[in-house]
Parts: sequence; structure tokens; C-alpha cells
Amino acid sequence: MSVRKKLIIIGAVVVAAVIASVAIGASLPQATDYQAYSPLVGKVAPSIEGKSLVSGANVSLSKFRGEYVVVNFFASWCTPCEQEAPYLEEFYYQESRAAIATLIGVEFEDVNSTAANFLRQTGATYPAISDPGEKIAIRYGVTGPPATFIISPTGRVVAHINGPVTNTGLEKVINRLRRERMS
Amino acid sequence: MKKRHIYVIWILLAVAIAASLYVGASGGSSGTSVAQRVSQIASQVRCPVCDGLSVEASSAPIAKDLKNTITKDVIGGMTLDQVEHSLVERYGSSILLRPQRSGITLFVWLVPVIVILAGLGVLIRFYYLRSRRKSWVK
Repeated sequence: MSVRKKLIIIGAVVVAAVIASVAIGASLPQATDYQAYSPLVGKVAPSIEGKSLVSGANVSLSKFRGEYVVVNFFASWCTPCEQEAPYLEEFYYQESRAAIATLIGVEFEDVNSTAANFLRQTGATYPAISDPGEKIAIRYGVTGPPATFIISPTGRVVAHINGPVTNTGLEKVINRLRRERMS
Repeated sequence: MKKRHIYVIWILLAVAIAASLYVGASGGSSGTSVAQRVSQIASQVRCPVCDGLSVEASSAPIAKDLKNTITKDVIGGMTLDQVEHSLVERYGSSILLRPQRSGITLFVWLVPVIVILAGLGVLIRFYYLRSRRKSWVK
């Protein structure tokens, strides 16, 4: 085999390898602008049950079947959680009144009393529960707060947002999901 | 006879490499006690808030919680693959310190084997051609 032929074969193999790498990269799941990748998106939402940090009442995700549920993992020691707190309260106030969506907070690696104080100080009125042993956080694959998941009315995880959220950002995602559901 | 010896050496070398790859891929001998199995799994699971540390090596609270979850799963009868699969379903494949042996990441395991086999093939061919050339010269 001539040197030229060998070079052509080597070149062809290199090009094929590059094309295969690009194709594999493109086939991997991608995150959208606002949302982050989560393997849970599209799957049935793991159960959430716990005691309210403020009132001690039982809170369960299954009670909210039929509406969008925003699940927000937070901690009192997390600065971005402090930043998003007023936006979350605004979102809860607007959306729960319109019966479109609701919000559940889940404490992440925090002391219950400190987390409850954080909720009182930020004026949160939405139900927020303790998560001893981070069982719920592990079920949702949370690596750190703030992390937010949106659950569809049928009980499936439809979005995951890593980092602080705003009420307008959440509303945009939910409106898009509602449009997609209706079409 | 000499030529046969060379082939035998190459075959033994190929078997040794294949065996090493298998042992490396299977993570060595699996422990029998719950603690050993938990430790084996936890050393292959990445601590999500640490830099390159396993759940076994980290003292971060989430790492301890993950190890507790692994312990409960192992006590519940789950195998290493089932525990890993359950974590990947929640965190994605990046939760494992080594790539899974399925899907696209299977290539990561196959490529070294293919390269080694191709290299062995090239070497065998090289020695075969050399020995043939020598026999012609004689």
C-alpha cells in the first residue's frame, strides 16, 4: 500500500472519529436557557411528604394533583436562596390565588429552627417542610440549594432550574408548559 | 518451534491484559459483608459537592446522607448495579466516578480494549512477516 493511500485511510478514520464524537455530543440531553438538565425530567415525580417547618402540619405533594407544583430546595445559609425568597412568595401569592400553581419549600442541610426563622424573616407563607437525612433531596438528585423543580398536574417532573429563580421566570416556564400541554 | 513460542507468548499476554481489564472493570473482588459492599459502592459514587472526592472519602453532610441511602439500599437487597442505576436516574451519570458500562459511555470501556487488540494484531503481523522474511533469506 502506497504512503498516499495510507494517509488517506488515516485521514478518513480521523474524520469519522470527529463526526462520531460530534454526533454523540449532539445526542446528549441539553439544558435550555433557564432550565438545567436533570434525568428526572419526564419521569414521575418522587414523593414529597413532611411536616411544615412553621406550623407542623403535614404537607404532601400528592395533595396537589391537578395543578403545577413548584418544589424549591432552600437553606437559611444560602445567599441566593435569600435573594429568590421574595420572588417565590410573590409567585405563590399570584399563582395559588389563580389556582394555576402552588409552591412547596424543602429545607436542605439546615437546622429546622433556623430554616423556620428564615421563612418567617423572608415573609414566606407557602408550605415548607424539613427533610431529615436529605431523603427528598437525594430522591430529586439535588446537589445544593437553591434548586427548583416543576411538577406537572399529572405528577411528572417537567422542569429543573438550578440557581435562584424569579416569579416572572417561573411564570414564563409554566405558561410555556401549559401552552405545550394544550396544543 | 521458535515461531510457535512467540505466538504462545502473545496469546498469554493477550489473556493477561484481558484478565486485568476484567478485574479492573469489575472493581476487584466484591465484599461479602454489608459494610464492605457499601464501602465498595460509596467509593465509586462522586460526592456531589466535593471536587473529585468519593462519597466514601468525603465528610460533607450530603456525602454522609448519600452513604446512608446506599446502606439502606444494600440492606434492602439491591446489587451494586441497581444502586448505581438508581443514583444515575436522579443525578445523571456524572454521579459515578467511573463511566457506566452501558449506553454511549460503553465506548469508554471498549476503546482501550479495541486499541490493545489492534496493537496486538499489528505486533503479531509484524513478527509473522519478519519470521517469513527470515525463512526466505535462509
